[in-house]
Amino acid sequence: MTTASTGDPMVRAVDLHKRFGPVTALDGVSLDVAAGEVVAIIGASGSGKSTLLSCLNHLSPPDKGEVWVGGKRAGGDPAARLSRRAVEADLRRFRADIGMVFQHFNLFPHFSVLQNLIEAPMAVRGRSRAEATEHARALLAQVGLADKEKAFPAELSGGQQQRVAIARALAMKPAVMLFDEPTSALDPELVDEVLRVMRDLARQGMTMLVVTHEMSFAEDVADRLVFFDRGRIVESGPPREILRTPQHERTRSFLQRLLRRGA
Amino acid sequence: MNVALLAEYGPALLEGFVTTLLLSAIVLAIATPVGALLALMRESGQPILAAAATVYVSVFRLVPALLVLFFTFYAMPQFGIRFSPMGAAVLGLSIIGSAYLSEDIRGGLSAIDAGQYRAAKALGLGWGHTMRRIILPQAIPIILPPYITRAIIIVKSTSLASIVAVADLTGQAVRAASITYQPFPFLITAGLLYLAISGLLAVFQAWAEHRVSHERRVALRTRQAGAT
Ligand SMILES: Nc1ncnc2c1ncn2[C@@H]1O[C@H](COP(=O)(O)OP(=O)(O)OP(=O)(O)O)[C@@H](O)[C@H]1O
Ligand SMILES: [Mg+2]
Repeated sequence: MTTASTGDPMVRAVDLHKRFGPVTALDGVSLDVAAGEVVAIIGASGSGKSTLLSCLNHLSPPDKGEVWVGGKRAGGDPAARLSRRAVEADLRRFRADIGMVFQHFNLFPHFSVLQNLIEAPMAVRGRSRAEATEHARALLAQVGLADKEKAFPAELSGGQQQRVAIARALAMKPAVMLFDEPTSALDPELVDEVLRVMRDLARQGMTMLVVTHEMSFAEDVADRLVFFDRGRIVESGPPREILRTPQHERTRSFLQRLLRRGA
Repeated sequence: MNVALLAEYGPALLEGFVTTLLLSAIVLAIATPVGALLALMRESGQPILAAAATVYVSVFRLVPALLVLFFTFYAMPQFGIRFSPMGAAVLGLSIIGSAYLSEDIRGGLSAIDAGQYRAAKALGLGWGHTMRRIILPQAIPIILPPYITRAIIIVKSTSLASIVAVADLTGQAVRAASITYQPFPFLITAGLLYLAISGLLAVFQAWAEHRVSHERRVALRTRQAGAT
């Protein structure tokens, strides 16, 4: 069923539930992601894809369920009976190990590109400025923006901003990268430069969960495609199979709608 | 005649002016951090802290400042807490001022996109660092113009202190006027001196607003380049 993995999965989500008032955003989601695996998540608007990502790094914690990343449980070992303060501290460390890339980049507009990249590594990881700067420069080169370290976010195109945002997440040396529709806010001609960076990252063996409407990216890059509907995983498997021969009616109608839109 | 009178009461007016400056400075120095604390409490997401701050702010924005001053000056001694006129005025005006200032500060904080908090949190940054390095540097330019408007209102409201026997600029001017039966020169002089303080603040505000509108343009460009 799922890709066989050696040892523990890099990400393990067990029976996640999340409600917002009357809305059930996650209705019992379990998901294992192996180290180096790329999982693409698709599904209709409001189906709970973003909620899943923010539960995984506990940006907004699930009402019920557990998340493990790299063998560590979010919020620490429940048997240790940590104080609330200790749980918060554990969650901060937990989040620091998970890179997140947002639809609208969310760069810090008052910081230069370089400062965007070194702020958290210095504050959270305790790296020296020199160390953080050296790593940041290497990352900027990797995303093709070596000449932009002094620029401010406002001076960059959307595609450049998103590449800076990816580099900012990578600067924390995360175990996993979460992408929430990273190209949805971009003009069409800027999409490819961002997908190229993500493709490189996947090739280097980064474990990635990508919420996306870019079906060709999902097909080419993802090891597994997960289809979300009304807070549940309806279907999951190799992208090609799901895209060619979807098993569920909901998946079929979603893919048809997507095709009709000419995506 | 007017000149002679002004010369005679000049020192008293000057003393009043200094008292007004001092009172304004002390009230702002207290009300600003308290107002900031109240705003942070309301934005903290901690239900009890937020509720306590909301009650405080609502109450002290809805009751007359003069009533609060009367309370600190006349009513508190009944509970054995006695203040000098200046002390009562500082306390009363700071209570009211902090409630208003917290609203201005909160307005600036809520202008910051929620995505900034999310991005900082996702990077593992704590609340204090996020506020100090990410949120406040963006919020302060937005807060500054309404803050100065409020500061001007607070400076003017210090004239209420004259009613609880503080010899501030208004107090001294009214005293001279009632002794000499010549209200005109003293009230005009007091008015001009208030105008000088407020005017200075207004000039600072104009400069700050110019700076902010520049930063807004930059921020707007960010958003246009970002979200479609
Ligand atoms: N903070 C919130 N407060 C209230 N309701 C929310 C909140 N976040 C999400 N929801 C609701 O939860 C459901 C799932 O939302 P979610 O954002 O996870 O969907 P999504 O699959 O990411 O959709 P989209 O493709 O539009 O981004 C929706 O009904 C949404 O309205
Ligand atoms: Mg979403």
